[in-house]
Amino acid sequence: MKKSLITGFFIFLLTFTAAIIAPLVFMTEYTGRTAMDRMEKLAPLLPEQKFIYFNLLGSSEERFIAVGFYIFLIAFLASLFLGSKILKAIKDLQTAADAVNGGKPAAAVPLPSDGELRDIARAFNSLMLALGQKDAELQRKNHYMGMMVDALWVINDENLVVEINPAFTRLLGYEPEDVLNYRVFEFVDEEGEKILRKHLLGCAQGHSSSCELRLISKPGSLKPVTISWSPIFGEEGEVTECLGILRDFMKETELRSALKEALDYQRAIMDSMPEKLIVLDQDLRIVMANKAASDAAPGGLTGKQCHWAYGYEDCTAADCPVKKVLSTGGPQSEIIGRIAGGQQVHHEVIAYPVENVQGAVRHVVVVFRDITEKRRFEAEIKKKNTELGSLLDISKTLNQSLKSEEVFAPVIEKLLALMGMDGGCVFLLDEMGPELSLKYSKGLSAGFLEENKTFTTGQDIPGKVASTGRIFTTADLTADTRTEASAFRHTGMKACLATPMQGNEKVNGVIMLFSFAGREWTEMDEDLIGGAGQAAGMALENIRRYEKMRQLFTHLKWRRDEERKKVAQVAAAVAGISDPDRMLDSLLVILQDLMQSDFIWLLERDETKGLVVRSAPGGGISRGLAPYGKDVRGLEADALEKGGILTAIGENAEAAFTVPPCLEAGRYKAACAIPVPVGEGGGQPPKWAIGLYFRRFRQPGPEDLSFLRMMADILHMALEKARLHKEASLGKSMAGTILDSIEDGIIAVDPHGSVTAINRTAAVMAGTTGAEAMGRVFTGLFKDNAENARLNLLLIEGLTESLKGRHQYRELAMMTANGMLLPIVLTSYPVLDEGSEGGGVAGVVFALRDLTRNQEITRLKNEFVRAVSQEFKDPVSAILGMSEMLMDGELPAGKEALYLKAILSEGRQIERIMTDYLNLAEIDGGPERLRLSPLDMGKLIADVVREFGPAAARRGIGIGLEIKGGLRPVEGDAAKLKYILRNLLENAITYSGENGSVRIEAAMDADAIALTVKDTGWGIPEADRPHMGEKFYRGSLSGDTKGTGLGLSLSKQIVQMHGGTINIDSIAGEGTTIRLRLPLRRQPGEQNNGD
Amino acid sequence: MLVDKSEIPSVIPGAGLSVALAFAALGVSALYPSLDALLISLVLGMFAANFLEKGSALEAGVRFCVSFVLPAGVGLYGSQLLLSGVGPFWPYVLGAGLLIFAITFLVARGFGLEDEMTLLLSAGLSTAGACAIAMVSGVLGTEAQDTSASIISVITVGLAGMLVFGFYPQGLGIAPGKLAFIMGATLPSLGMVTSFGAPLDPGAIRLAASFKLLRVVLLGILLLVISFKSKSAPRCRRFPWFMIPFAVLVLAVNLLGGGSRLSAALAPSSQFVTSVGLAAVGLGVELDSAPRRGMMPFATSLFAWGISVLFIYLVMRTL
Repeated sequence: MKKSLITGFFIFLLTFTAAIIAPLVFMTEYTGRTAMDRMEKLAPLLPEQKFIYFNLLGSSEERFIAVGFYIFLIAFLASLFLGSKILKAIKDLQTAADAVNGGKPAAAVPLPSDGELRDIARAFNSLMLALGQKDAELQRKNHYMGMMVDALWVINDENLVVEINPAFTRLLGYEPEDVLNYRVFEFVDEEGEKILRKHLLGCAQGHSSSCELRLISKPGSLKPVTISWSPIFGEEGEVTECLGILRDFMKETELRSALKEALDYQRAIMDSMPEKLIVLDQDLRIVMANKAASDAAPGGLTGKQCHWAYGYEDCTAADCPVKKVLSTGGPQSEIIGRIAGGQQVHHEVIAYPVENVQGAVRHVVVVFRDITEKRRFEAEIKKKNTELGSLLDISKTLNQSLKSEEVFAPVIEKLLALMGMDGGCVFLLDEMGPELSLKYSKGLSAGFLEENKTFTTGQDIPGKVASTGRIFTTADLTADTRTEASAFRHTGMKACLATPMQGNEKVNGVIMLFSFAGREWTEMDEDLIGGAGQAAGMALENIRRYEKMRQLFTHLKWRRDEERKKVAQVAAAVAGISDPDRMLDSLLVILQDLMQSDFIWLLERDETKGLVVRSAPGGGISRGLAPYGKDVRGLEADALEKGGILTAIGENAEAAFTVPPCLEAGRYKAACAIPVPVGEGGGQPPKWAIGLYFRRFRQPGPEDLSFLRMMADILHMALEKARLHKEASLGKSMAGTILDSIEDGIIAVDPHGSVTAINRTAAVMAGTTGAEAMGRVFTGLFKDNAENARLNLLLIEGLTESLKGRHQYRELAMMTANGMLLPIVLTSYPVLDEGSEGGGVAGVVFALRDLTRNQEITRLKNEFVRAVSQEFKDPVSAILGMSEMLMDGELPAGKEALYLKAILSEGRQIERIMTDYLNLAEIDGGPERLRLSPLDMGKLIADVVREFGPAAARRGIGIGLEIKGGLRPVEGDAAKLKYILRNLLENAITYSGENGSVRIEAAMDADAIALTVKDTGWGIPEADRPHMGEKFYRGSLSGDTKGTGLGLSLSKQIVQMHGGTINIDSIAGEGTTIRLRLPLRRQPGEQNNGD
Repeated sequence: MLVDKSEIPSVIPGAGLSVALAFAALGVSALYPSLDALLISLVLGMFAANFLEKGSALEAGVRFCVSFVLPAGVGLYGSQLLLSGVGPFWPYVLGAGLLIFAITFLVARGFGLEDEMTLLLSAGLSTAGACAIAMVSGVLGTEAQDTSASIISVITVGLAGMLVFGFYPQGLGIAPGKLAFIMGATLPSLGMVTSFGAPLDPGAIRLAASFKLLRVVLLGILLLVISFKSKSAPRCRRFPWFMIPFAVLVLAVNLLGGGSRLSAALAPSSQFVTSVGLAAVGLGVELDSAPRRGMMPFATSLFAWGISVLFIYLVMRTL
């Protein structure tokens, strides 16, 4: 490697140096000058003049050393990288060597380029190849030796064991380490050593031989073996080793004895067989026979033809199973029959082939089995099966029949067929008596039957069989001494059999079978007929039981129908009654009738009185009566406490039976109390009980009790229904009232748009009635014209939106039925169905609100604001202006008082206006706002007249006051009434011309005071008259006069609040007369709305 | 404290040897000015490490010099960067550095080198040769074998390039200024630039050295980026702190009045300190790592550097 590295280094060094120097040399030779000269020459040609070059070969020794050093350094460093290939090759070799040392086969290492290393690698690869071949050969050899069944060992010329195989270990138990390199004589005894030495000597001389001897196995036992010796020759033909093949001699001996044992077993098995067994050769000659076969042929069978074995003279049958076996090669079986000793004999012949190793049939094993007896048993079993089938048929017929009359014919027919008889008859024993009646017969004459329809028990054959319960048989009736007196003796029948029809409890009848010929009866015949009779008897019992059940069922069905009718009757009675009391009475009457009781009532538990009568129809007992008093518990109280029905009959009562005093004690013998469930589902403790009283002894049966419970439940349901009906009616009425009381029009529709409810306002708008509107489509309610087209559209839109759960609000105009065009607000609301899953919408409610009043209110509000502003504007402006002038001192001397007066006047005007508005607000609060007290009306009028005297005098108006008679005190609000008087008087003065007159008269008129204010003023123009008394309305003549337009309106309202009236008569240009009538006492809630 | 007091005895052998080698290199360089002290100290370190039995006694001192003395030396070299010479060329210098980095990176990936080896070679060729490889290796924590193979590859390629530039300046057919640019922008070590600056005039040598020193800025940026990516390196190694004195000195030398005097005064110091650091780097180099790593690092460096220089040269020819 070092050589390679050094070589690489120098090659690189030389190359690199040459690469640097050669161009310079070239350039020098080319120009014939030094490189320096060349560079100096080239310098002016280059882009920049100042060109400096490196003087390699110049005088600088230092630079030369530097360059050399650098070249050396580069070469050194570069060679380091070049050395990487050598290192890799060495590493590959080392890895391969490590693998071989580790016992693993090494792959061929790649050949490096380096010469020495390449040779080494090539040699290494050759060595690896040879090693691999040897290793494979060794493995093959070991494999073969391991596969050998026979044991082997190899002995060298020093008599040492040098090789054994796994079979050797299996034979003698020695592992290789126990044997290898040990002397061979250590594994034999003295005798064996001699034999061994002799054969090893022969083998060493090149001879093969074999010997038998005993080797000492590892456990210490001697193992007999045969050893075959073969010499192993070396390359030069000399014997190097001896190979001994060992076979287990013990195994052969064991095999022989085992074979003998097997043959002995075979013989024993063959001889133990009851069947004859022979073995035939291909010529059908017997080569072997078992004991049964040999015993049957005293002369011996061996060598004879096969048919000798089973007594046939010859065997020419084509279907001989032995021949078939020889021809087909498969096992065969055949039944062969013949007559022997006058009887039919059957043999089953079974033949099996015995094949040699080539698969050819060499022998046939034949087994003969005598199946004559088996055949006989099979015939008998078949017959029994037939009989059993007949019996099963009879049993089936009996079981399937529900009428006794229909049973006997088929049964007798089947029995006759089964037994081979000529006729038969059936007698049935009466259930209540000892008489046997003929029910069916076949084969007997009509005359005989006419005379012998019945027998009593013990009489004749049927009677005796019925009484004893035993079977009677006779082979010949005419010769039997037991039947000398029998009526059947002269019918011609001979053989006869009679069997009782035995049921579970008793004999139900007799079956007789007979034949016109004699016959011996076997025990089996008797068993057969006895079984048939028993089956018939039990079937008869079942049929009778069934018939009883059918009757019972019919009765029960009839009873159930009756109960249904009763319930239907009760339901019909209560269906049309909604009044609980009436319903109770009706139900109780029906129940009394149904139970056929003599008295019935319904008692209710009361907390204070105990039980009280709730209803007692026809008993003359009043409702609310406590029949038992507080100290006595009745049957009803016990039933309520128990929560179930109680019955009582005299001394056998289930509970205390005390006839209440209100009933006649001693008249009633039995009673029954039924608690009535209470509440929804009857879940609460009962507080009502029905009492039923009977004058006769009567014990209600289970059906009665069940019926009573049902009736109690019906009563409970009926009461619940009546309660719910009442609540529903009340709710409906209330809802209708609420709807009608709403000023807005309300229409409810279902999801399909059909009207389900409508209130009065909506009906008026639509020009219909609630009854007419119900069920109609809501869009057809209103007048069909252009004005209502939008309404109908919005109704449909509202329905659609509300069905989605949304509200809708729309303003529009509609035309009512009477042609009025109303501004309305249409609102739709969904009606949620709380019972449905997910909160579905059950319908929609539309509300139609008339906006006319709202608009009027808005107008009035605007008017009011305008009036207030107007009224306040002038006085406030005047006050402000004059106040500023006073403060500025700009007034002429002596005018201050005048201005102050004017300010006072304007202030009072403001006060008056405010008073009007305050009164208006108070009056809007209703009559309850009045502060009533007894008033002297005359004094009040006089005070007001006096108050206005100076003002009237300033205008030259005379005021006349006349109070006729005495005025009685009036109950009224002094301030309000004074306001009326001032207002009337002020108007009269204001609207009268100068020098006019105002006259006031007051007098009693029944229970009221009549007041008249008459002026000679301008009067009221005709156009203004309808509006007089309206708020904020001022007449056309008011001009610049100050006022709010509220005075007359307020006066009118105050009078009405006092229960009085006010009337205005006016003629334009002549004057106005106002008549006021004020009652002495206002009636509560009274408010006169007259003019 | 850079070194714990208790560790000072263990630092002394390695640091002492590095100092001794640096003195030897300076001596050789004084005798033969063409043999640059920086290069010689690195080479001496390499030979000393591989032909002497260095043992583990030197490890702490070598580590200390590589980690602290070498960056300090690089920082001091900021005093030698004259921006007036660099003038408007600094973007082109940095662009050339980035170009070499990118080409080396792509070639290394193309040759199937590992990530760390790729970064080491790219940093070494594009910025500051062995110094850059040693510093990047410190941040990445690469194996000594990779570091050594990278240093040997880059030094070998750099030396070859240095000789080419030294022998054939006229053959390149470009002006000294452009040659200075190519040398400063492509040679991996300052020593390679200055040793064979003889073909150029002194001004061009200084310009080439300034170009070379300007690429140290790239090293700072590269270390900053790698330190953010690498979580394994110690915190003190992550941040390229030497860039602070480097930048301070650059500003001082170029902006202060006596900048040139300061530069001249710090020149021996910076050379000595860097030589000590490079001697330590050389002591850490295992020469047998080159054959172990095979030809690929060397081939990558040679190929990438050749392409880069050819490209830059062609561009310079057209300008």
